[in-house]
Amino acid sequence: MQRLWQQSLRASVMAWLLICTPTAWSDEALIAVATNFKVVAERLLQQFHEQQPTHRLRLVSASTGKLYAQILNGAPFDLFLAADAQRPQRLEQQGLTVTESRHTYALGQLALLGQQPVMADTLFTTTIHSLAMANPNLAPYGLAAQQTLGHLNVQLQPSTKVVLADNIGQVYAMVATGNAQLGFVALANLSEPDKMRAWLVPTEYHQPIAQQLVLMHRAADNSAALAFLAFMQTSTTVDTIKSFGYQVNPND
Amino acid sequence: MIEWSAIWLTLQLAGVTTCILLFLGTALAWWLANHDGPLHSLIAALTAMPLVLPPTVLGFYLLLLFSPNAPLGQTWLALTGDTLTFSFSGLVFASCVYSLPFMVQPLQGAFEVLGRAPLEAAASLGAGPIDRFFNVVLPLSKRGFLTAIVLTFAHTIGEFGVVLMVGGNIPEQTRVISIAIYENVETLNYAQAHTLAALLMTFSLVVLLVVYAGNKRPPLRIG
Amino acid sequence: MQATNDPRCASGNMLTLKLQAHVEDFDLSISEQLPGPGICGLFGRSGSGKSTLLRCIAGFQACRGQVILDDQIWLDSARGINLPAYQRPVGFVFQDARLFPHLSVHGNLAFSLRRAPRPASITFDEVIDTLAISGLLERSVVNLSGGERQRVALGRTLLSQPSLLLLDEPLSALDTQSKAELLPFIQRICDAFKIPALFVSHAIEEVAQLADHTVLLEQGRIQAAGATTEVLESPQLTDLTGRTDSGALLTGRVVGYDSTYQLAMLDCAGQSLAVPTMTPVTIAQTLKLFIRSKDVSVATTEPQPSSIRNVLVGTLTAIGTTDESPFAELSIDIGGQYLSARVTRAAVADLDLHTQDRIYALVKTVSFDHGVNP
Repeated sequence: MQRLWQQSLRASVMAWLLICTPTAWSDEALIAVATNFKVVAERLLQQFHEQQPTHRLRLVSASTGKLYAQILNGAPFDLFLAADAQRPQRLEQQGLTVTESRHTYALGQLALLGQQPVMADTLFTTTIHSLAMANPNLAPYGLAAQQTLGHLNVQLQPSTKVVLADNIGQVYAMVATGNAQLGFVALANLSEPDKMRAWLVPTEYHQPIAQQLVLMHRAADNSAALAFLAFMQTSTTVDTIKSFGYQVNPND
Repeated sequence: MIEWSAIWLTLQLAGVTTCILLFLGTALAWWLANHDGPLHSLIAALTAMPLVLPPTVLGFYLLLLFSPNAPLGQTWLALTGDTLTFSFSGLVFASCVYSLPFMVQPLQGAFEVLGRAPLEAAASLGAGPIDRFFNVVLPLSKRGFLTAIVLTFAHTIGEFGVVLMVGGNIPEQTRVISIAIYENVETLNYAQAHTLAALLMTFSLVVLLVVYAGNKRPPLRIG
Repeated sequence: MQATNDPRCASGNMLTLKLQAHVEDFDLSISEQLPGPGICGLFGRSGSGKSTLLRCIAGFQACRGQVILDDQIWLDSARGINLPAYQRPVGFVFQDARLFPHLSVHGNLAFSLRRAPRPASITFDEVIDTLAISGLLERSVVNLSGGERQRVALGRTLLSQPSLLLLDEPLSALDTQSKAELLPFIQRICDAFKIPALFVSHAIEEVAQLADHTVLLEQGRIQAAGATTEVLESPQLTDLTGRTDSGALLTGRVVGYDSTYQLAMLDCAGQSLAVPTMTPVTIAQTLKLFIRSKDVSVATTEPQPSSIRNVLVGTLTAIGTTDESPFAELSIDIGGQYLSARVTRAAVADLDLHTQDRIYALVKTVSFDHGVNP
């Protein structure tokens, strides 16, 4: 009886210590991820936690532009997974990141979705009432869409409304609700049935939609962040990312 | 370089919306101030909804409503050949919903304060309903009307979330000043953003000053 | 509506009322024919339905039944006739005047005149003269005194050429001075323009002063109706108003005015009364005085000089007693007019009072003020 008492006392003290004292042998990290990659990041986090449960990672997601502005104003992010290359580059130039940490973690895929099934020549053969894309000034997918139109030398009718959405997700909403006849969406947004009807834009029609990440200075010694970075390079991660509709170029 | 087209478009949107709501809102406010019953609470609640709904939620449901797959969108397409979404008309429609309580509530308040007393007096002197409305209600609700018109106009000028969802950012059709400012901020074009935002701020401040300074005089009492 | 709009030509002016209305606490149920012309007083406690009745006649309150003035049918539920208020040639004077604050006095009057049926037999000049408001014309309505406001309201109502005047407690919101000033104006306009009027009040003195015919209302029903003098002396009034309001109406003619002591000297059935008054009176003016029974004491012999200046001699005609009450109601004949006095039964026994006794009535009231008691 007394032994049981001793054992449970010891166990509760240990538990109490674990709860109250900050642990030195595992870390916490805050990861900022662009909205369009959020779902993927959540899955990756899940997988990571299964493998390495001692680290605690939390996600924050918003548009790349907002996260960038927040970082500039002191937001305590340890890792920044952007939807473009421009913002990570700027952070690096300003010396806010760990050198050599910037690299492409995913390549976005552009697709053209419509009310009817879309094919390679749809842009030329149909009368287009409205064509939606993300704002090229705001989103790399929008820029890619614009570049695609230029590459294909699409001559749009004056009556065609070119609708600019705030982000790629909004483009999908416009097409899905039937408001936009055609829209340049991210492959990652498409469901399986969608994928059957959409036209996958060949990547050579536009500049790569490189999604890059950086490790922030403050996290240079953060074991959790570093562990996750390493995890991002593994083949399981690459497969997961691909399964969501992105390309990963392991050579980058 | 100031985007004058965005400014002009915004003023047009606010102007048209305010005019439409002036008629719609007055009728609705009059009904709410003078009728009771089970329907009253429902109508009052529905009128106040745009106050509590996040603009993006409102915008989202309007997106669904305007869609050519929905009855309203279909009818509009059939009548005009154009979609409601991504059009100025669609923005007007959306703004009317979004700014409705700003027209109705001050008017309703003014009508309730007015009460039945002066209307009974006017009726006893031979004034019919329309006569009473234009010659008693309107002059005695001037302040309420001023507040309602000014608030509706200013509120529509600042509209963003709804426009973002159903506008489509088309220059000279749906690219209003708030969208332009937002885009400038997002693309780190702070100078531009400053200019437009400062214009908008000054305008709103002037408008609010007019409303509050105008309301300082003691209200007219009947009797 | 009708060809003859000039109320001065109206003959008879019979107002037929058969009304059923449901208001918050009670049901109004009236069936009466009120004779015109002149002022008919509507008296009752607060909440008895007086204002409701007036509002039904005006068309502000929904009700069923009949409202017919001579041959003008304003309401007849059986025939589906229900004229809205603005189509009834009724002039309504509200307790709170309800002048339009966005218009000047002149503007308020013009509002009415502009909507009046043509030809306008009651003219603008006549009205401002009769009500003495020419000095107020350019004034803003907001700063007028209570009395001034009501005079303007009266004028505004008159200019709408009404066939019937409804006055809903027009004096109740005024102070004593203003009340005393306004009362004669009401009398004046009814005399000058010969419009029948219904005058609602919960103050017995006002009704006593103005009305020839009085209707007593209680709980939405008519308790008594008839000539004012009779109604005021009726037992129903005592039941209704309790002890404070029972009394009698005396009519007197002004024979003199003592400016030093501000007393009006009245000749009342051959006897004289000195009535303190703050407002001026004119010689030969007829005044009605309502004297409450509780303010009358009696003596069997001529009393010694006391502060009570008014002693009237008369004959005791009736002694009303009940075993439940310590009081007795005495009825005294003063040269054809009647006075009532309330004394204790003990006093009756002590003084050994019998009918046909010669009796002295001592009337104590601080101020009459044209019948409007403080």
